[in-house]
Amino acid sequence: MENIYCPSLLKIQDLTWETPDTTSFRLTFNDNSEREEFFSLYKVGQFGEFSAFGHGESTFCVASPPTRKDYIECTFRAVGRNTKALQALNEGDTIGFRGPYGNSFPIDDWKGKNILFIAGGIALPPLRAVILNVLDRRSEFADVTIVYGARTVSDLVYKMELQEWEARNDVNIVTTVDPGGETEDWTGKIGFVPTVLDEVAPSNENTIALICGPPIMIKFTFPVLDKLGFSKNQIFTTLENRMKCGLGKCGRCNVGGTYVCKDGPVFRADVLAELPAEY
Amino acid sequence: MVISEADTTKIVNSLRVRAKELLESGEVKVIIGYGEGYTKGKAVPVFITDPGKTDQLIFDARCVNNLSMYLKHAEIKAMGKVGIVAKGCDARAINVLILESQFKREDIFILGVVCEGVGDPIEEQCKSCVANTPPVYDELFGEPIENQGWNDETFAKIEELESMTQSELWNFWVKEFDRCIKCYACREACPMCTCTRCITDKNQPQWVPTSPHSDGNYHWNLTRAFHLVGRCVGCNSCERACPMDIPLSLVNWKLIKAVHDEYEFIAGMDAETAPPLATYTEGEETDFIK
Amino acid sequence: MALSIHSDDFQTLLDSLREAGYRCVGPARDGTITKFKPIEQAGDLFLDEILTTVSPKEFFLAEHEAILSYRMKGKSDIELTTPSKEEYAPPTLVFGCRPCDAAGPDIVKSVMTWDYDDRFFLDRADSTVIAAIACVEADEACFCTSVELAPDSQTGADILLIPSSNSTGDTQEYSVTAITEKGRKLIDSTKGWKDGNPERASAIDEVKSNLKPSFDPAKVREWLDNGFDHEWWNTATLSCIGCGTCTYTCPTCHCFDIVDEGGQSEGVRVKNWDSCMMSLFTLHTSGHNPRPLKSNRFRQRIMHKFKYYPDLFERILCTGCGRCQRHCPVDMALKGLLEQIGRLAAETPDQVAAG
Repeated sequence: MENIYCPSLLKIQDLTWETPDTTSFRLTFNDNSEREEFFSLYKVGQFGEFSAFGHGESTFCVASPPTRKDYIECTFRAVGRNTKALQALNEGDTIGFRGPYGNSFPIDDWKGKNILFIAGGIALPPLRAVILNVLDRRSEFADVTIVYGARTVSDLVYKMELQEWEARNDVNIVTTVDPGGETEDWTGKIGFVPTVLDEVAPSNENTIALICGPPIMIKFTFPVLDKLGFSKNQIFTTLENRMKCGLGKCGRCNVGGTYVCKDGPVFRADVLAELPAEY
Repeated sequence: MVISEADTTKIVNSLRVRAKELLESGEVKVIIGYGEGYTKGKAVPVFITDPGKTDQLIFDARCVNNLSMYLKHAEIKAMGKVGIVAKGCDARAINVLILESQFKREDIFILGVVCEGVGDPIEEQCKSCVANTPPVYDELFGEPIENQGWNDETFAKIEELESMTQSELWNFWVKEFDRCIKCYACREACPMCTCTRCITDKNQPQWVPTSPHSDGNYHWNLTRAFHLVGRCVGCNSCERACPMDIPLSLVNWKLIKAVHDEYEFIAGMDAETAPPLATYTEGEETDFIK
Repeated sequence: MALSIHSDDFQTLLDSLREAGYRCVGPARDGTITKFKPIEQAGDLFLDEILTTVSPKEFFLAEHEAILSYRMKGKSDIELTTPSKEEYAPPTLVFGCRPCDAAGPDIVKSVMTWDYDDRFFLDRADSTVIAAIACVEADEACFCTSVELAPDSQTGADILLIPSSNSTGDTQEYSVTAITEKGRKLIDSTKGWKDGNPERASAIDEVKSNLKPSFDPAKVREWLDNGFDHEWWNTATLSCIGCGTCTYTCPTCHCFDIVDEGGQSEGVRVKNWDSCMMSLFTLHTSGHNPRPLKSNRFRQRIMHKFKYYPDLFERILCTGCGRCQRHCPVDMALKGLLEQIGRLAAETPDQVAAG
């Protein structure tokens, strides 16, 4: 019988410092058959357990799309024991990875629709996988709008990609920083994400909204979406709860009777609204 | 001397009346005391907010728990001023907690009860109680008894252990700690375990291995013991709570003895005397720090 | 053919088990408590206690076990090894547990096979034979009959020993039923078993009839469906001290932690018992905790046992063994709380629906 807790070994091919405490890894599978197995299962929105051996495992969403099959990427802030150990590694070092786990964004159901991404701070990575997936299949979708904000300019992640997306004429991207978080050469907006979203005022018609960010941002963004005419079944988000196994066994990530590791991490807002506030 | 049944009834009746008054007047928002348990014959902690329900209160030798441990719970803190039924050891724990600034004296109303020992048969630590009459209270229930110092029997068990060779002692504790399942009942039952994040729950670095193996068990139980030096009031709550019957009081009393031998200090007798292990005076010997 | 075994023949059984390659674990004294330990001598078996302090679940879901070892030959060259089945799942007979304990692994199996198979649990379940002994005694904490079990239920057992009326002081004869193929195979390959059908001790049926169900799990589940935000949780759980005694001694609680132990060059990844009653269990690295209060955590435990698990697997995650009452430092009896829920369900159906 297979050991479901045994990770694959992945090599850090590229390491990018997104902010002073946030890092992205581009990882390649040491074993090609494990890579093939991963991509035969992987759908955008799923997560995995990433580990620095000797320190533990951490749950991150896979930040790269299933349309890019040579590697996987992840972005994380160093806060706990394992994330700090991961951040201390260098290009060429090996980490452990288990996944993909959980459900995914049903993007095949969104063909022909407008897609609106709303993200705050370190919560862009889960949506970045969807953004890249949508852009890799650009012709299948209508308008793409991204509203992304962070506390300060230096807290914005994926700065290179933000510029690339800005340069495209088939993406409408608005970046913002909290008042006081701007630099002298900042050309984006200044203000909180919900306020900026209200200004941008994307149409609710034929649109799917994806939202990911700190609880306070989500709390104030929902009323704006409501005002713009979005119904809850047009809005998707991802949850994170503390996990150990990622496989529905260790018993801690449930929100009521719903297991984030199996029924999530992706939830439609109307489904989420039915769950108790245990997240 | 044993408190007569008539006296006990008197104590209980006056407790109930006073608790009712305190709740009615709004002076306290909740009374923490003892009531009848679900299991026949057991006394359990009760939390009374309704003045009409103070008849639930009981007090007798079954009331073993040290209720002062609840004062650290967020749920209790959120209720407002607490009235707490306190035996001598509970009151000593309250003194230590006040000394350590966990709360202020005026934050609680202490319904002190004179106690001649709990448990059936009477628990070991009660046989050499130094606080039959609580050293701190707002109101006392029962006729005060003059508190005695420790007697010859107090440390008999510890002296027995001290007479063991090092390897005998090692084997004794390895065997006892081996049963530990890391349920942390000792920690949770202890009034002195007030850390909002216990050292065993910290992993940067991982001070105490969290696994319930020999190494982890030894680390945990001894680390906890060290944190109690000069603070433990010997109420036996940890040992009583331990489902695996690890004789934790032996560890605690060894350290209580050490502190007493060295500093003639008994924890919790008042809320002013500076605890020796948390005090530094100029000129103190420090050559043990290498 | 009807089978029996006499306690005088336990040593014969133990010797032949060893020869057949089984280890035997059974209730034995350890200090002042009784727990499941490897048994070599029949005299070490201690079958007088109603229940051991901790259930024998540790032989299925280890209290602590390595699930992986890593060895770094260099930062980019890492060797991972999974312990072999032979190491962690030796052929074992769990002898002399109660029917409630035998039911534990059978119930937990549902989650251990839920989409992904936990080999550590399943390999052990596969190589372990459970010989349960029906109860001739129950105490105030027992409530197996409230959760669809009984003092002589066969659920989860491979072999059931029924004490006979033929007992003299320290010796006891049992009638023996092989319930599973695995149990039959063990009996066939070991000694000490005899033909015979001794008369069933009347005490078993007395225990059974005295142990009236004290709540209806279906009614409890119904109340829980709408009772998540009920005020009752806050008042009912005030006295909980927040330790893990109830969950660690429980035969069905199976939640676990995964941690790495070791240094830079080599070490192990281990699985340890964990408990929903502790606040660290759900604490996010950010400091946010979805279940910050003891009422939240106690609700999780009851919900998991009597609603979430039944919703998912059609099994109640409780065998009514009562350890959570016997060992709770403050007598927070699960049975008592479920009786309260039963009363709430009966008394105030409208209020509950209103939340």
